[in-house]
Amino acid sequence: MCSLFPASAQVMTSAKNRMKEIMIRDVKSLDEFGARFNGEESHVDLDSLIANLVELCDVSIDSPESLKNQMLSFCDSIINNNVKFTLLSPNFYADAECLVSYKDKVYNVNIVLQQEHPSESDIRWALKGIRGLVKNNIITIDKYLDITPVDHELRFMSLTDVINENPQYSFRYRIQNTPVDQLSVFLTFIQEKLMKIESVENVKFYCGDVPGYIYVIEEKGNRTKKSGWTITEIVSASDEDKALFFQNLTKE
Amino acid sequence: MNKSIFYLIFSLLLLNISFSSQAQTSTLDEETRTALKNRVKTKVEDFTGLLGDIVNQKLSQKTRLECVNTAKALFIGQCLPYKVEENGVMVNHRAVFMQTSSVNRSTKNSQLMSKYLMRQYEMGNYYQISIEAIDAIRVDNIYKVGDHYECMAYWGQRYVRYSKDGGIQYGDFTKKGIRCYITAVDVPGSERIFEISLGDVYALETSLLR
Repeated sequence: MCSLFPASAQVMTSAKNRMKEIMIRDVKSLDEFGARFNGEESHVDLDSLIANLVELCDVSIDSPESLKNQMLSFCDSIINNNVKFTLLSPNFYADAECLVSYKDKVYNVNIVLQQEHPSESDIRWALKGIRGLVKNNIITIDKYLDITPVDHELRFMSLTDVINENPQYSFRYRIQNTPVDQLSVFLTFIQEKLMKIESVENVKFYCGDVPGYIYVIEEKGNRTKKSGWTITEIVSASDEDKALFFQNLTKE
Repeated sequence: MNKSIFYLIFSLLLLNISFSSQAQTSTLDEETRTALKNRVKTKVEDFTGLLGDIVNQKLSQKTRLECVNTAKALFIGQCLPYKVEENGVMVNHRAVFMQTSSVNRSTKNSQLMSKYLMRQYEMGNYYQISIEAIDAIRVDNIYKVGDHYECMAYWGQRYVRYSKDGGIQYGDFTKKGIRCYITAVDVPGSERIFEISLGDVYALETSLLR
């Protein structure tokens, strides 16, 4: 295979220095994101909290003018309300897009997690919810089937008939509108080795701690401008909007 | 007299166990955290240095193979599946993974660290490879997890494949993250000892070398 271009020591040193400069400016972790958000650390080229907050916002949300104005109002709200970034906030969610295998097929599901304190000194991520079991028809929960109204005369003999013979419809035999805890279903599938998490494809973080806004944090790789963990979306939201959004995030 | 000695030894044993338990659940002061972060940084630098030596054709095959075994020992479970007691049950863990990426592939590849290290040693059909850490720039905060501590460390890695004429066939720059485990062990009559083991390595982002 031919070489693309000859290597020279000067070229390699210059590239190495450039990479180091990028690494220093990159927001390499959520830990670093939080430190810059809270004013505990700073981008090497900046010296104010507002400048750091603007720098944490992705290039996709600082233009056109309308988006830029929203971004600036968002940053103002952070400063005026002295909002701090913490993974332990009850308004902070991780949304992991996963591939799961089930009955020789692979499906996209979203697993939602939150952090909690199981004891004073411990912190853990824990599963909060899942979306995708219904969308992928892994379970069907919106239709119902009948157990005969005379089954009591048979001492409910048909339970060993209709449910055992139709395990794929088992959810349809419950009382109408009984909620199904899909997280429990998912975990039971995992426990019984019916389902397996093959990979985590992408992760987004949603936060509702800034008054008037929900924002999204993702890891972006745009090495010509900002890269690393950045705020990729800001949405105006009232407290009611936030409650509804996070409720829908954890279930279908 | 024998009974007294027995009770003395038994009491000392109980005392030792309670000290160990205390060490496992107590929090770290700031000075200890800073010292541990520096040690984590050193451990990661040990790994990145060994990786560079494993692919360095100027070293003998014997030396390079020794580097593979030394690198394996840096990782939790020594790159084999392992078990850890957690809340009264033994939890199974798979062996450590290394995630790699390439600008020529849209997906990342995960493989056992032991396999990855051997593949770097064998180097396939490549003439010469250089793997160099730009800097182990950041160690994140240390968190208590059950009876041990964990943190993440990040560094930039330059990977270059050279042809026989010294030109670059392929080169990329990857941001890497590594999970680090810190366990505290109380030695009777001595200070608390912290052991650091490395864990899964993630390829966070890859770009073409320019």
